Amino acid sequence: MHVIARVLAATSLWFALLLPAPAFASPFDGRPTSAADSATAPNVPALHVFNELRRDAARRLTAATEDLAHHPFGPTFALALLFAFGYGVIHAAGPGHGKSVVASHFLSRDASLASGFRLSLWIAVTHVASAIGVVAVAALLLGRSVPSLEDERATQLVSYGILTLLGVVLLVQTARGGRFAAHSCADHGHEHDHSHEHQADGRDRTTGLLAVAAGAVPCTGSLLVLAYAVANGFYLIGFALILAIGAGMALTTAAFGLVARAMRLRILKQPRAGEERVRRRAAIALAGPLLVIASGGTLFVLAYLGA
Amino acid sequence: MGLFLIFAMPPRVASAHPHVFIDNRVKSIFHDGRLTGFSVEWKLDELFSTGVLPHKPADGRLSAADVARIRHDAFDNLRHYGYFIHVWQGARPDEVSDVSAFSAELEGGRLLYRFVAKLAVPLDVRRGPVIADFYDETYFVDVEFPDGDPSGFALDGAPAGCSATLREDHAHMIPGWGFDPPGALIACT
Repeated sequence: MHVIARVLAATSLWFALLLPAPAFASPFDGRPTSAADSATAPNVPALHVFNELRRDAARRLTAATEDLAHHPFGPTFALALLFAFGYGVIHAAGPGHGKSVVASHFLSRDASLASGFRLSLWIAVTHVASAIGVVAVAALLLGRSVPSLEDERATQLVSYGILTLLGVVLLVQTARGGRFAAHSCADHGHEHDHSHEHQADGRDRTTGLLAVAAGAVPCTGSLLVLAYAVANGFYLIGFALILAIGAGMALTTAAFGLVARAMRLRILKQPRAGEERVRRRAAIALAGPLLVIASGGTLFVLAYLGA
Repeated sequence: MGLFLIFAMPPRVASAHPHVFIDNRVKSIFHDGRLTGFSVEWKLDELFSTGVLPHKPADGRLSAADVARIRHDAFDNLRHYGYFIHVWQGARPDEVSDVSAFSAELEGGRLLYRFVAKLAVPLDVRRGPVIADFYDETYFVDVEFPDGDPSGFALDGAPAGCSATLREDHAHMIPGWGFDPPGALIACT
């Protein structure tokens, strides 16, 4: 059931991602766009320096990738691998990438460290797999792959929308579980860890789906790296680079999970027993899904507004 | 709260522009003293070239079928973008109405396009200075004269007393990108 649900979630995301066909806006083969469509910077002369730097960076990136095509597994590759890992670490600190999902996992239960790392790894693996999928589909169906990654709005809307909805599902599941736990614990007059297997099961499933939703939209960097690699025929290098990006991402999301875990432990430290602890426990548990809803919802609205 | 702010930071705008680099060489075409168009040579960057032509022929020679496919897949659509050629005489804009004599070949792994761009309205350069700028207004593509080479624009067949200066055009900044595009100012004494 677990596997089928994940595959279904991933498949529906795929169709949703592919339908609007958003990622190709190159003048060479894309739909006609106007300057107004793509304009992102105002006409300020002071921006010249910034734009020159950006142009220079783009040229250097192009040159480096060309070098990679000619001298695979040389120093450029080693450096690229390092950059890819660093990019993963830093990029995952930005919006999305499942930090709230991992944090929520740790906030809502006494989760083991291993389960948190597994979740982070699962998000990263989904991320890598979907990056490969996007580029493979682009390369196989469209014949060539110089994707423009500017119009990511549709993908963002789908991903953040699903994240928010799953957050709501998790909230409902947690609230139900929490009420039951609070009630029975109060009856006992003391506190100890109940294991409500069926509720934990439901939440685990939702958390698994959240991980898929969070990981299923590959970031610009992974797509660019992979598309360039495929275009140049160095598949192994591309694969190694996005694995490095994924590893970096997993590190960051896991770190956020550890922070959430530390917060939970600290809050639950005092008082050691009694109704207050039960109340706190329930409140923290609800904070997880609320965090997912808040971040998913905010990102959805921002994507909708075109921010 | 701090944690929430980190989660809710607005998505970074993907600002990887430009994606494609073109080394641009242009020669003017005159008929009866009027500027009728340009003979254009584009050297595209290697990455883009590989994207267009994933399997490069071993002998480096492109077949007629290759050229036809390249034209269809990675050139014809540029009509929506004026083939990155923007022309004014005074305040009046002109445009490329037709492209002919398209050819493509490989040079050191880079695609080399050659084509003739015809202006909709031939311009009498003796009646006033003509500006010919070369840029993609969406800035997906960076069109540059190689290393700012002043010989990148050749004034060919112009009436006596006319000359062309290659410079950055401060009057026609690329909309939204804050760039002065490279272009030629053709003026006659």
